[in-house]
Amino acid sequence: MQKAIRVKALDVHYGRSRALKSVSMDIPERSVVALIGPSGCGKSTFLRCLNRMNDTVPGAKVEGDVEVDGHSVYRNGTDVVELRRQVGMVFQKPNPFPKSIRDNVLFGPRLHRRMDRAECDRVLESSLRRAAIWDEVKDRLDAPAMGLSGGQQQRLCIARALAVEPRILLMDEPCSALDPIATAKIEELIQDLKKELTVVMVTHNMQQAARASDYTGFFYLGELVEFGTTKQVFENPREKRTEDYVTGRFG
Amino acid sequence: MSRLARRHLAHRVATAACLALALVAVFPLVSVLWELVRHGADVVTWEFLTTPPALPLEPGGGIQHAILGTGVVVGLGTLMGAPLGLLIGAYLAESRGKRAATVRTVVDAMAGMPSIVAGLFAYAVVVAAVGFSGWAAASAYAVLMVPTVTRTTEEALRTVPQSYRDASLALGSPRWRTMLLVVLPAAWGGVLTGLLLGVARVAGETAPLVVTMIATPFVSTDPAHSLATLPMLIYDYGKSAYPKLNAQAWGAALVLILMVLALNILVRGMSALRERRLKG
Repeated sequence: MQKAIRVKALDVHYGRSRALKSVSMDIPERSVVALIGPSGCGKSTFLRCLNRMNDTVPGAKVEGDVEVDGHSVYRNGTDVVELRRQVGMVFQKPNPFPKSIRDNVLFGPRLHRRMDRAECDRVLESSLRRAAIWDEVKDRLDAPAMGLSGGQQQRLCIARALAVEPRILLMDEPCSALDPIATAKIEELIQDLKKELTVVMVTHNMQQAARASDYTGFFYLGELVEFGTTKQVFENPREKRTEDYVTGRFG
Repeated sequence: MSRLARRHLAHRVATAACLALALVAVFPLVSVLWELVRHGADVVTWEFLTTPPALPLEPGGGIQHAILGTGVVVGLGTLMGAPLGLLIGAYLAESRGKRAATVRTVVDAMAGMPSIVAGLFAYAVVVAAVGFSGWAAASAYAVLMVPTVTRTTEEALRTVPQSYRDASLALGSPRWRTMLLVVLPAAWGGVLTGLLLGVARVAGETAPLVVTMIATPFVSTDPAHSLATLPMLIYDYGKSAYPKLNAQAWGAALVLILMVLALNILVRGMSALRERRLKG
Protein backbone atom coordinates (compact mmCIF):
# COMPACT_ATOMS: atom_id res chain seq x y z
CA MET A 1 0.00 0.00 0.00
CA GLN A 2 1.13 3.57 -0.77
CA LYS A 3 2.69 5.40 2.17
CA ALA A 4 1.24 8.81 3.04
CA ILE A 5 3.83 9.63 5.68
CA ARG A 6 7.29 8.20 6.32
CA VAL A 7 8.96 9.20 9.55
CA LYS A 8 12.66 8.40 9.82
CA ALA A 9 14.56 8.46 13.11
CA LEU A 10 12.78 11.54 14.40
CA ASP A 11 14.34 13.19 17.45
CA VAL A 12 12.91 16.23 19.21
CA HIS A 13 14.47 18.25 22.01
CA TYR A 14 12.77 20.98 24.00
CA GLY A 15 15.72 22.84 25.42
CA ARG A 16 17.65 20.12 27.20
CA SER A 17 14.91 17.53 27.57
CA ARG A 18 14.46 14.93 24.86
CA ALA A 19 10.79 14.60 23.95
CA LEU A 20 11.10 12.06 21.14
CA LYS A 21 13.72 9.34 20.82
CA SER A 22 14.46 8.19 17.30
CA VAL A 23 10.91 7.47 16.22
CA SER A 24 10.29 5.84 12.85
CA MET A 25 6.87 5.08 11.43
CA ASP A 26 5.35 4.42 8.00
CA ILE A 27 1.74 5.46 7.69
CA PRO A 28 -0.26 3.92 4.82
CA GLU A 29 -2.53 6.10 2.72
CA ARG A 30 -6.25 6.28 3.51
CA SER A 31 -5.97 4.75 6.92
CA VAL A 32 -6.70 5.91 10.44
CA VAL A 33 -3.80 5.82 12.85
CA ALA A 34 -4.32 6.18 16.58
CA LEU A 35 -1.45 7.28 18.82
CA ILE A 36 -1.85 6.22 22.43
CA GLY A 37 0.24 6.49 25.55
CA PRO A 38 0.31 8.28 28.90
CA SER A 39 0.43 12.10 29.10
CA GLY A 40 3.77 13.65 28.28
CA CYS A 41 5.02 10.65 26.31
CA GLY A 42 5.52 12.56 23.05
CA LYS A 43 2.33 11.80 21.09
CA SER A 44 1.40 15.43 20.55
CA THR A 45 5.01 16.37 19.86
CA PHE A 46 5.12 13.65 17.22
CA LEU A 47 1.86 14.84 15.68
CA ARG A 48 3.01 18.45 15.58
CA CYS A 49 6.18 17.42 13.77
CA LEU A 50 4.16 16.14 10.83
CA ASN A 51 3.00 19.63 9.82
CA ARG A 52 5.86 21.49 11.49
CA MET A 53 3.68 23.17 14.09
CA ASN A 54 6.61 22.75 16.44
CA ASP A 55 8.28 25.58 14.55
CA THR A 56 6.32 28.00 16.72
CA VAL A 57 7.50 26.42 20.01
CA PRO A 58 10.53 28.28 21.34
CA GLY A 59 13.54 26.06 21.97
CA ALA A 60 12.25 23.06 20.02
CA LYS A 61 14.87 21.27 17.94
CA VAL A 62 13.98 18.57 15.44
CA GLU A 63 16.38 15.98 13.97
CA GLY A 64 15.67 13.14 11.57
CA ASP A 65 13.20 13.50 8.76
CA VAL A 66 9.56 13.26 7.82
CA GLU A 67 8.39 12.59 4.29
CA VAL A 68 4.89 13.48 3.19
CA ASP A 69 3.97 12.02 -0.19
CA GLY A 70 7.63 11.42 -0.84
CA HIS A 71 8.70 15.00 -0.13
CA SER A 72 10.94 15.79 2.80
CA VAL A 73 9.36 18.11 5.34
CA TYR A 74 12.46 19.21 7.21
CA ARG A 75 14.86 19.72 4.33
CA ASN A 76 15.82 23.32 3.54
CA GLY A 77 13.43 25.05 1.22
CA THR A 78 10.32 23.17 2.30
CA ASP A 79 7.36 25.50 1.87
CA VAL A 80 5.68 25.30 5.28
CA VAL A 81 2.58 27.04 3.96
CA GLU A 82 2.14 24.46 1.19
CA LEU A 83 2.91 21.63 3.63
CA ARG A 84 0.17 22.75 6.02
CA ARG A 85 -2.26 22.96 3.14
CA GLN A 86 -1.58 19.26 2.53
CA VAL A 87 -1.53 18.32 6.20
CA GLY A 88 -4.46 19.81 8.11
CA MET A 89 -4.84 19.83 11.86
CA VAL A 90 -7.64 19.73 14.42
CA PHE A 91 -6.82 20.66 17.99
CA GLN A 92 -7.78 19.31 21.38
CA LYS A 93 -9.95 22.25 22.35
CA PRO A 94 -12.32 23.49 19.64
CA ASN A 95 -10.77 26.75 18.46
CA PRO A 96 -13.06 28.46 15.95
CA PHE A 97 -12.16 32.05 15.13
CA PRO A 98 -14.41 34.72 16.64
CA LYS A 99 -15.99 35.16 13.23
CA SER A 100 -19.11 33.84 11.52
CA ILE A 101 -19.49 30.16 10.65
CA ARG A 102 -19.07 31.05 6.97
CA ASP A 103 -15.87 33.04 7.53
CA ASN A 104 -14.43 30.23 9.64
CA VAL A 105 -14.85 27.65 6.89
CA LEU A 106 -13.71 29.95 4.09
CA PHE A 107 -10.66 31.26 5.97
CA GLY A 108 -8.32 28.60 4.60
CA PRO A 109 -9.48 28.46 0.97
CA ARG A 110 -9.44 32.25 0.69
CA LEU A 111 -5.81 32.27 1.82
CA HIS A 112 -4.77 30.08 -1.03
CA ARG A 113 -6.81 31.28 -3.99
CA ARG A 114 -9.30 33.86 -5.20
CA MET A 115 -12.85 32.60 -5.15
CA ASP A 116 -16.07 34.01 -6.55
CA ARG A 117 -19.35 33.85 -4.71
CA ALA A 118 -20.60 30.64 -6.24
CA GLU A 119 -17.38 28.82 -5.47
CA CYS A 120 -17.45 30.10 -1.88
CA ASP A 121 -20.95 28.72 -1.42
CA ARG A 122 -19.95 25.40 -2.95
CA VAL A 123 -16.87 24.98 -0.74
CA LEU A 124 -18.83 26.09 2.30
CA GLU A 125 -21.59 23.54 1.81
CA SER A 126 -19.37 20.61 0.85
CA SER A 127 -16.97 21.19 3.76
CA LEU A 128 -19.77 21.47 6.28
CA ARG A 129 -21.45 18.37 4.83
CA ARG A 130 -18.24 16.36 5.02
CA ALA A 131 -17.92 17.36 8.66
CA ALA A 132 -21.52 16.26 9.27
CA ILE A 133 -22.68 19.61 10.59
CA TRP A 134 -24.38 21.13 7.54
CA ASP A 135 -27.93 20.31 8.65
CA GLU A 136 -27.38 21.91 12.03
CA VAL A 137 -26.00 25.22 10.77
CA LYS A 138 -27.33 25.71 7.23
CA ASP A 139 -29.89 28.26 8.42
CA ARG A 140 -27.42 30.39 10.34
CA LEU A 141 -24.22 30.47 8.34
CA ASP A 142 -23.59 34.08 9.29
CA ALA A 143 -24.08 33.55 13.01
CA PRO A 144 -21.00 33.73 15.26
CA ALA A 145 -19.17 30.41 15.52
CA MET A 146 -18.69 30.99 19.24
CA GLY A 147 -22.42 30.51 19.75
CA LEU A 148 -22.27 26.82 18.76
CA SER A 149 -22.03 24.01 21.29
CA GLY A 150 -18.64 22.40 21.97
CA GLY A 151 -19.31 19.41 19.73
CA GLN A 152 -20.57 21.61 16.92
CA GLN A 153 -17.55 23.89 17.28
CA GLN A 154 -15.23 20.90 16.94
CA ARG A 155 -17.01 19.69 13.81
CA LEU A 156 -16.83 23.24 12.46
CA CYS A 157 -13.08 23.16 13.05
CA ILE A 158 -12.93 19.88 11.12
CA ALA A 159 -14.93 21.48 8.31
CA ARG A 160 -12.51 24.40 8.35
CA ALA A 161 -9.56 22.04 8.06
CA LEU A 162 -11.25 20.04 5.27
CA ALA A 163 -12.04 23.18 3.28
CA VAL A 164 -8.43 23.48 2.12
CA GLU A 165 -8.62 19.85 0.90
CA PRO A 166 -5.73 18.35 2.82
CA ARG A 167 -4.52 14.83 2.01
CA ILE A 168 -3.74 14.17 5.65
CA LEU A 169 -5.62 15.25 8.74
CA LEU A 170 -3.94 15.39 12.14
CA MET A 171 -6.18 15.32 15.20
CA ASP A 172 -4.86 16.02 18.67
CA GLU A 173 -7.34 14.44 21.09
CA PRO A 174 -10.26 15.78 19.07
CA CYS A 175 -12.91 14.40 21.45
CA SER A 176 -11.42 15.00 24.88
CA ALA A 177 -13.51 18.14 25.41
CA LEU A 178 -16.72 16.57 24.09
CA ASP A 179 -19.60 14.54 25.49
CA PRO A 180 -20.18 10.91 24.35
CA ILE A 181 -22.79 11.80 21.73
CA ALA A 182 -20.58 14.41 20.07
CA THR A 183 -17.69 11.95 20.33
CA ALA A 184 -19.70 9.27 18.50
CA LYS A 185 -20.46 11.75 15.72
CA ILE A 186 -16.81 12.60 15.28
CA GLU A 187 -15.78 8.95 15.23
CA GLU A 188 -18.37 8.24 12.56
CA LEU A 189 -17.05 11.18 10.64
CA ILE A 190 -13.50 9.82 10.81
CA GLN A 191 -14.68 6.57 9.20
CA ASP A 192 -16.15 8.60 6.31
CA LEU A 193 -13.03 10.71 5.95
CA LYS A 194 -10.72 7.78 5.56
CA LYS A 195 -12.21 7.04 2.17
CA GLU A 196 -10.47 10.14 0.92
CA LEU A 197 -7.65 10.98 3.28
CA THR A 198 -5.28 9.77 5.95
CA VAL A 199 -6.11 10.52 9.57
CA VAL A 200 -3.56 10.53 12.38
CA MET A 201 -5.17 10.94 15.76
CA VAL A 202 -3.89 11.23 19.31
CA THR A 203 -6.27 9.81 21.87
CA HIS A 204 -6.37 8.99 25.56
CA ASN A 205 -9.41 6.87 25.11
CA MET A 206 -8.44 3.24 24.61
CA GLN A 207 -11.86 2.20 23.31
CA GLN A 208 -11.76 5.01 20.81
CA ALA A 209 -8.43 3.81 19.48
CA ALA A 210 -9.74 0.26 19.27
CA ARG A 211 -13.02 1.29 17.58
CA ALA A 212 -11.92 3.98 15.20
CA SER A 213 -8.42 3.17 13.98
CA ASP A 214 -6.74 0.77 11.56
CA TYR A 215 -3.26 1.14 13.03
CA THR A 216 -2.14 1.99 16.53
CA GLY A 217 1.13 3.36 17.83
CA PHE A 218 1.99 3.15 21.52
CA PHE A 219 4.32 5.83 22.84
CA TYR A 220 6.05 5.68 26.17
CA LEU A 221 8.60 8.19 27.52
CA GLY A 222 9.38 9.55 24.07
CA GLU A 223 9.79 6.16 22.42
CA LEU A 224 7.51 4.49 19.95
CA VAL A 225 7.24 1.20 21.79
CA GLU A 226 5.03 -0.57 19.32
CA PHE A 227 3.31 0.16 16.04
CA GLY A 228 1.05 -2.23 14.18
CA THR A 229 -2.51 -2.93 13.12
CA THR A 230 -4.95 -2.00 15.83
CA LYS A 231 -6.14 -5.59 16.09
CA GLN A 232 -2.62 -6.84 16.66
CA VAL A 233 -1.67 -4.11 19.17
CA PHE A 234 -4.76 -4.62 21.28
CA GLU A 235 -5.19 -8.40 21.02
CA ASN A 236 -1.68 -9.65 20.61
CA PRO A 237 0.86 -7.01 21.64
CA ARG A 238 4.51 -7.89 21.10
CA GLU A 239 5.75 -5.77 24.01
CA LYS A 240 4.99 -6.27 27.66
CA ARG A 241 4.68 -2.49 28.19
CA THR A 242 2.06 -2.24 25.48
CA GLU A 243 0.07 -5.09 26.97
CA ASP A 244 0.17 -3.51 30.42
CA TYR A 245 -1.03 -0.20 29.02
CA VAL A 246 -3.85 -1.42 26.78
CA THR A 247 -5.19 -3.73 29.45
CA GLY A 248 -5.16 -0.84 31.93
CA ARG A 249 -2.57 -2.30 34.25
CA PHE A 250 -0.57 0.91 34.35
CA GLY A 251 -0.55 4.47 32.99
CA MET B 1 -18.07 41.69 72.30
CA SER B 2 -18.53 38.40 70.56
CA ARG B 3 -16.18 37.22 67.82
CA LEU B 4 -18.89 37.53 65.19
CA ALA B 5 -19.81 41.06 66.20
CA ARG B 6 -16.15 42.02 66.07
CA ARG B 7 -15.84 40.68 62.56
CA HIS B 8 -18.94 42.55 61.45
CA LEU B 9 -17.49 45.72 62.91
CA ALA B 10 -14.16 45.19 61.15
CA HIS B 11 -16.04 44.63 57.91
CA ARG B 12 -17.94 47.88 58.28
CA VAL B 13 -14.86 49.89 59.24
CA ALA B 14 -12.88 48.52 56.27
CA THR B 15 -15.71 49.23 53.84
CA ALA B 16 -16.07 52.77 55.12
CA ALA B 17 -12.32 53.36 54.89
CA CYS B 18 -12.20 52.14 51.28
CA LEU B 19 -15.14 54.32 50.35
CA ALA B 20 -13.59 57.36 52.00
CA LEU B 21 -10.29 56.86 50.21
CA ALA B 22 -12.08 56.40 46.89
CA LEU B 23 -13.83 59.72 47.44
CA VAL B 24 -10.50 61.38 48.25
CA ALA B 25 -9.14 60.06 44.97
CA VAL B 26 -12.12 61.31 42.98
CA PHE B 27 -12.22 64.69 44.70
CA PRO B 28 -9.49 66.49 42.70
CA LEU B 29 -10.96 65.30 39.41
CA VAL B 30 -14.46 66.42 40.30
CA SER B 31 -13.31 69.76 41.65
CA VAL B 32 -11.30 70.49 38.51
CA LEU B 33 -14.33 69.67 36.39
CA TRP B 34 -16.54 71.76 38.65
CA GLU B 35 -14.27 74.82 38.44
CA LEU B 36 -14.12 74.47 34.66
CA VAL B 37 -17.89 74.29 34.35
CA ARG B 38 -18.41 77.15 36.83
CA HIS B 39 -16.09 79.51 34.97
CA GLY B 40 -16.40 78.21 31.44
CA ALA B 41 -20.02 77.13 30.94
CA ASP B 42 -21.27 80.64 30.19
CA VAL B 43 -18.49 81.27 27.69
CA VAL B 44 -19.01 78.17 25.62
CA THR B 45 -21.64 78.93 23.00
CA TRP B 46 -22.01 77.83 19.40
CA GLU B 47 -20.61 81.18 18.34
CA PHE B 48 -17.59 80.70 20.63
CA LEU B 49 -16.78 77.42 18.92
CA THR B 50 -17.27 78.59 15.35
CA THR B 51 -15.88 82.12 15.06
CA PRO B 52 -12.31 83.36 14.80
CA PRO B 53 -10.97 85.51 17.64
CA ALA B 54 -11.88 89.21 17.94
CA LEU B 55 -9.58 91.94 19.22
CA PRO B 56 -9.16 91.85 23.02
CA LEU B 57 -11.20 94.99 23.70
CA GLU B 58 -14.00 94.15 21.29
CA PRO B 59 -16.77 91.84 22.51
CA GLY B 60 -17.30 88.33 21.14
CA GLY B 61 -14.91 86.27 19.12
CA GLY B 62 -14.22 82.58 19.52
CA ILE B 63 -11.67 79.81 19.38
CA GLN B 64 -12.39 78.27 15.99
CA HIS B 65 -8.75 78.68 14.98
CA ALA B 66 -7.52 76.76 18.04
CA ILE B 67 -10.03 73.91 17.64
CA LEU B 68 -9.07 73.48 13.99
CA GLY B 69 -5.37 73.74 14.80
CA THR B 70 -5.57 71.17 17.60
CA GLY B 71 -7.50 68.89 15.25
CA VAL B 72 -4.83 69.15 12.57
CA VAL B 73 -1.87 68.71 14.89
CA VAL B 74 -3.40 65.82 16.85
CA GLY B 75 -4.62 64.20 13.63
CA LEU B 76 -1.24 64.40 11.92
CA GLY B 77 0.53 63.29 15.09
CA THR B 78 -1.75 60.26 15.25
CA LEU B 79 -1.17 59.44 11.59
CA MET B 80 2.57 59.46 12.24
CA GLY B 81 2.70 57.91 15.71
CA ALA B 82 -0.11 55.34 15.69
CA PRO B 83 1.18 53.11 12.86
CA LEU B 84 4.60 53.10 14.44
CA GLY B 85 3.17 52.18 17.84
CA LEU B 86 0.94 49.49 16.29
CA LEU B 87 3.83 47.88 14.46
CA ILE B 88 6.17 47.94 17.46
CA GLY B 89 3.37 46.57 19.65
CA ALA B 90 2.72 43.75 17.18
CA TYR B 91 6.42 42.93 17.10
CA LEU B 92 6.64 42.81 20.90
CA ALA B 93 3.54 40.64 21.20
CA GLU B 94 4.76 38.09 18.66
CA SER B 95 8.42 37.75 19.50
CA ARG B 96 10.39 36.66 22.49
CA GLY B 97 14.06 36.95 23.26
CA LYS B 98 16.71 39.53 23.87
CA ARG B 99 15.96 41.87 21.02
CA ALA B 100 12.29 42.23 21.95
CA ALA B 101 13.24 42.77 25.59
CA THR B 102 15.58 45.59 24.60
CA VAL B 103 12.92 47.24 22.49
CA ARG B 104 10.46 46.95 25.36
CA THR B 105 12.88 48.63 27.76
CA VAL B 106 13.46 51.49 25.33
CA VAL B 107 9.73 51.99 24.84
CA ASP B 108 9.16 52.00 28.61
CA ALA B 109 11.87 54.60 29.04
CA MET B 110 10.21 56.67 26.32
CA ALA B 111 6.91 56.51 28.20
CA GLY B 112 8.50 58.42 31.05
CA MET B 113 9.97 61.07 28.77
CA PRO B 114 8.95 64.63 29.77
CA SER B 115 6.88 66.16 27.00
CA ILE B 116 9.18 69.17 26.75
CA VAL B 117 11.96 66.79 25.75
CA ALA B 118 9.84 65.47 22.91
CA GLY B 119 9.22 69.08 21.95
CA LEU B 120 12.92 69.89 21.98
CA PHE B 121 13.58 66.82 19.87
CA ALA B 122 11.06 68.06 17.32
CA TYR B 123 12.63 71.52 17.58
CA ALA B 124 16.11 70.19 16.87
CA VAL B 125 15.05 67.93 14.01
CA VAL B 126 11.92 69.32 12.37
CA VAL B 127 11.94 73.01 13.23
CA ALA B 128 15.56 73.21 12.20
CA ALA B 129 14.62 71.74 8.83
CA VAL B 130 11.26 73.31 7.97
CA GLY B 131 10.76 76.01 10.60
CA PHE B 132 8.04 76.53 13.24
CA SER B 133 5.11 74.55 11.90
CA GLY B 134 2.26 72.15 12.46
CA TRP B 135 4.53 69.39 11.16
CA ALA B 136 7.01 70.02 13.96
CA ALA B 137 4.29 69.99 16.64
CA ALA B 138 2.70 66.86 15.16
CA SER B 139 6.00 64.98 15.18
CA ALA B 140 6.51 65.85 18.84
CA TYR B 141 3.00 64.48 19.53
CA ALA B 142 3.86 61.36 17.53
CA VAL B 143 6.95 60.72 19.66
CA LEU B 144 4.86 61.09 22.82
CA MET B 145 2.13 58.81 21.53
CA VAL B 146 4.31 55.87 20.48
CA PRO B 147 4.94 54.37 23.97
CA THR B 148 1.27 54.43 24.99
CA VAL B 149 0.08 52.91 21.74
CA THR B 150 2.88 50.33 21.73
CA ARG B 151 2.23 49.02 25.22
CA THR B 152 -1.55 48.91 24.96
CA THR B 153 -1.31 47.23 21.54
CA GLU B 154 1.06 44.63 22.92
CA GLU B 155 -1.21 43.95 25.91
CA ALA B 156 -4.26 43.67 23.68
CA LEU B 157 -2.60 41.30 21.20
CA ARG B 158 -1.25 39.12 23.99
CA THR B 159 -4.76 38.48 25.28
CA VAL B 160 -5.59 36.72 21.99
CA PRO B 161 -5.44 32.99 22.76
CA GLN B 162 -2.57 31.03 21.20
CA SER B 163 -5.20 28.60 19.90
CA TYR B 164 -6.36 31.19 17.33
CA ARG B 165 -2.82 31.56 16.06
CA ASP B 166 -2.38 27.79 15.94
CA ALA B 167 -5.62 27.37 14.02
CA SER B 168 -4.59 29.93 11.45
CA LEU B 169 -1.02 28.63 11.06
CA ALA B 170 -2.29 25.06 10.72
CA LEU B 171 -4.46 26.16 7.80
CA GLY B 172 -1.33 27.24 5.99
CA SER B 173 -1.45 30.93 6.79
CA PRO B 174 1.89 32.76 7.04
CA ARG B 175 2.54 34.64 10.27
CA TRP B 176 1.88 38.08 8.83
CA ARG B 177 -1.52 37.04 7.52
CA THR B 178 -2.30 35.37 10.83
CA MET B 179 -1.54 38.68 12.50
CA LEU B 180 -3.59 40.69 10.04
CA LEU B 181 -6.59 38.37 9.61
CA VAL B 182 -6.92 36.69 13.01
CA VAL B 183 -4.96 38.25 15.86
CA LEU B 184 -5.55 41.91 15.08
CA PRO B 185 -9.31 41.59 14.45
CA ALA B 186 -9.73 39.55 17.65
CA ALA B 187 -7.97 42.26 19.67
CA TRP B 188 -9.39 45.20 17.75
CA GLY B 189 -11.32 46.63 20.71
CA GLY B 190 -8.23 46.74 22.89
CA VAL B 191 -6.01 48.07 20.12
CA LEU B 192 -8.46 50.86 19.34
CA THR B 193 -8.71 51.73 23.01
CA GLY B 194 -4.94 52.02 23.18
CA LEU B 195 -4.89 54.19 20.11
CA LEU B 196 -7.45 56.63 21.46
CA LEU B 197 -5.81 56.61 24.88
CA GLY B 198 -2.65 57.67 23.07
CA VAL B 199 -4.58 60.47 21.35
CA ALA B 200 -6.15 61.58 24.62
CA ARG B 201 -2.73 61.50 26.26
CA VAL B 202 -1.24 64.01 23.85
CA ALA B 203 -4.25 66.21 23.03
CA GLY B 204 -3.68 68.42 26.04
CA GLU B 205 0.12 68.50 25.99
CA THR B 206 1.32 72.09 25.90
CA ALA B 207 5.08 71.97 26.33
CA PRO B 208 5.88 70.46 22.90
CA LEU B 209 3.74 73.15 21.24
CA VAL B 210 5.56 76.01 22.90
CA VAL B 211 8.86 75.11 21.23
CA THR B 212 7.51 74.03 17.84
CA MET B 213 4.95 76.69 16.90
CA ILE B 214 4.42 80.40 17.39
CA ALA B 215 1.04 81.50 18.71
CA THR B 216 -1.17 82.87 15.96
CA PRO B 217 -4.65 84.41 15.88
CA PHE B 218 -5.33 83.30 12.30
CA VAL B 219 -7.67 80.52 11.22
CA SER B 220 -5.65 77.96 9.27
CA THR B 221 -5.33 74.22 8.71
CA ASP B 222 -2.03 74.34 6.87
CA PRO B 223 0.55 72.37 8.85
CA ALA B 224 3.41 74.00 6.94
CA HIS B 225 2.95 77.05 9.19
CA SER B 226 2.32 77.69 12.86
CA LEU B 227 -1.22 76.86 13.95
CA ALA B 228 -3.25 78.00 16.92
CA THR B 229 -4.04 75.19 19.39
CA LEU B 230 -6.25 74.88 22.44
CA PRO B 231 -3.50 74.26 25.01
CA MET B 232 -1.43 77.17 23.76
CA LEU B 233 -4.47 79.44 23.60
CA ILE B 234 -5.39 78.55 27.17
CA TYR B 235 -1.84 79.29 28.24
CA ASP B 236 -1.76 82.68 26.47
CA TYR B 237 -5.27 83.80 27.38
CA GLY B 238 -4.90 82.64 30.96
CA LYS B 239 -2.01 84.99 31.70
CA SER B 240 -3.44 87.81 29.59
CA ALA B 241 -4.28 91.22 31.11
CA TYR B 242 -7.71 91.31 29.44
CA PRO B 243 -10.59 89.89 31.52
CA LYS B 244 -12.41 88.78 28.38
CA LEU B 245 -9.48 86.59 27.36
CA ASN B 246 -9.21 85.17 30.90
CA ALA B 247 -12.86 84.13 30.67
CA GLN B 248 -12.33 82.63 27.23
CA ALA B 249 -9.40 80.61 28.58
CA TRP B 250 -11.83 78.90 30.98
CA GLY B 251 -14.18 78.20 28.10
CA ALA B 252 -11.38 76.76 25.95
CA ALA B 253 -10.22 74.57 28.85
CA LEU B 254 -13.74 73.20 29.23
CA VAL B 255 -13.90 72.47 25.49
CA LEU B 256 -10.56 70.66 25.57
CA ILE B 257 -11.48 68.45 28.49
CA LEU B 258 -14.87 67.63 26.96
CA MET B 259 -13.15 66.59 23.73
CA VAL B 260 -10.88 64.20 25.59
CA LEU B 261 -13.83 62.90 27.62
CA ALA B 262 -15.87 62.35 24.46
CA LEU B 263 -13.02 60.35 22.94
CA ASN B 264 -12.88 58.12 26.00
CA ILE B 265 -16.61 57.51 26.03
CA LEU B 266 -16.55 56.76 22.31
CA VAL B 267 -13.86 54.14 22.82
CA ARG B 268 -15.72 52.41 25.61
CA GLY B 269 -18.93 52.36 23.64
CA MET B 270 -17.25 50.93 20.58
CA SER B 271 -15.40 48.14 22.33
CA ALA B 272 -18.48 47.15 24.34
CA LEU B 273 -20.53 46.95 21.16
CA ARG B 274 -17.90 44.82 19.43
CA GLU B 275 -17.59 42.41 22.29
CA ARG B 276 -21.33 41.82 22.38
CA ARG B 277 -21.41 41.10 18.66
CA LEU B 278 -18.60 38.53 18.74
CA LYS B 279 -19.61 36.60 21.82
CA GLY B 280 -22.80 35.71 19.97
